Amino acid sequence: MFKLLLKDLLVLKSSIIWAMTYLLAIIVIFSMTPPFDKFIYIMAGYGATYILIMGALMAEFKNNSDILLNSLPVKRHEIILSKYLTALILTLLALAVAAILGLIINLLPLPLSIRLMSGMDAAIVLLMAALTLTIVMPVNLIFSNQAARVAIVMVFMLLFFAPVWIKGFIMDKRQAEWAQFLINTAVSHPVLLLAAGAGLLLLLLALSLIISLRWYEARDF
Amino acid sequence: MENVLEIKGLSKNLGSFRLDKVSFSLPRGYIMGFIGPNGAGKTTTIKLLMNLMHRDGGDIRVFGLDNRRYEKEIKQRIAFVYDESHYYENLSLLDNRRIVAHFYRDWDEKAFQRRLRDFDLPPHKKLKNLSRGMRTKFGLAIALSHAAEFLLMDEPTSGLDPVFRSELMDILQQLLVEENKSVLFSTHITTDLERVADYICFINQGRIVLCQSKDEMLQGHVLVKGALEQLSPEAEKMFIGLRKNHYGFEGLSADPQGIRQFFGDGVLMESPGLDEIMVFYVRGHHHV
Repeated sequence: MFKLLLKDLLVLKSSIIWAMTYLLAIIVIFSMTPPFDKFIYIMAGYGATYILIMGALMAEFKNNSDILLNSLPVKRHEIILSKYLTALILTLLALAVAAILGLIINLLPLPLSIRLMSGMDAAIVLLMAALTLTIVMPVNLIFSNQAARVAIVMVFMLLFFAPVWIKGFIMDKRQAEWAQFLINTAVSHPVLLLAAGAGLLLLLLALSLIISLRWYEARDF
Repeated sequence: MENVLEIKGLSKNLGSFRLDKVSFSLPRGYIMGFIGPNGAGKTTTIKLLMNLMHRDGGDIRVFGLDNRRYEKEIKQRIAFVYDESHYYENLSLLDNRRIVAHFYRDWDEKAFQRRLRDFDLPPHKKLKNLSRGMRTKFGLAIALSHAAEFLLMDEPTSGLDPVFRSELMDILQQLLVEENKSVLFSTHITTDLERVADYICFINQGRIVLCQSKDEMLQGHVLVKGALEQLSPEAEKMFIGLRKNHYGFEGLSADPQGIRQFFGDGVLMESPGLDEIMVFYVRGHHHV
């Protein structure tokens, strides 16, 4: 598995530089632009993750490297597991770089005012990356890289509009018992709600992994 | 004689094409030419061998081991060169090597560096900036750097010029003499094999037509040229394939002795090349 991770890091050499430049640019540009300054770590972390995940998928697609990988002494399930694991590692890498950049900017005497990254920022980026992975990975395998690109745009739309829509829906139904329960939980125990969301997402991610594995195992190249 | 490869009753249905009970074996230390026209089933057979496709039936044993059950172990000992490069175009040769080398427990860096020098390959150049021939050479350099016992080549010479093809044949011949490797070489350019192959396996429309030593195949066939008047319906039955025109006929027979007895000195008899054997088997009694 380590060999496949190393392969992805080598393949992504130029994308990593580009993603880190993007990350720095977002942090610098939006650190003094309210209300975006509240979301800089989420925008920067998720944006960089997006660039890296799509870079990895694009490189495999462009070189038709499934033929190469499946000709090497490696099992098909290892290839798929490594794709998911690489995406997770790339997200953590993007978060780590974003956190370090935030810290450096704070320590240096720069005319920039920036808060440090919080645990909630990291959790939200991880959840967004997990949702992206859940949808994009099987779409990329079963359909095509182009379909994956369309899917990732749809995930973006979902991430931007779904919270507003869900909030509006809950507020409309606020007299209902379930809506009141959700509102009360969100106010009194936000972490619990986030954990429940994370649990659901993990379940979907597991389902996505199973679908990807089954498809890839049965595939003819 | 120990076989590195044994294929028995291999079948695969791809809808418009069907690989039909393909069986052949390759003894250790020999080169087998796997020939046939485009779309005959060569690549499908190789993909099944490499587990890039799932078979519908049959058995594949490499080094005596089932190719699915012992996939990783077998692939440690197999080297491959395909008709197209599937390495990463945006990476240099050295970076591509970094990716592949980690997968092989017997990676030989000295051998790889020697091959790069022998093949005049620029290690820091990106793969996308290399010609097709250079890419094939890089694939070969990788293939020959992890102590593989069995080299699998799927149309490695297609689209390449005769100079490079000749060079590749020299390399293969040298390999066999020096390192006792076994080679399965699939191609539709049969002239590449005349010099180097020990065995020929000929596939057409998903079925094995002939599979024997190259010498047996060449000596067991005769190319006959003569006048049309010499061709009776009875004589035509002796030919695998016939080509007729206003000036005469040309035909391939798998019965040189029978032909000699039937025609005597009245016709011109020549030893056919692999190309002619393949063409006559594929086209049959085709009248021009």
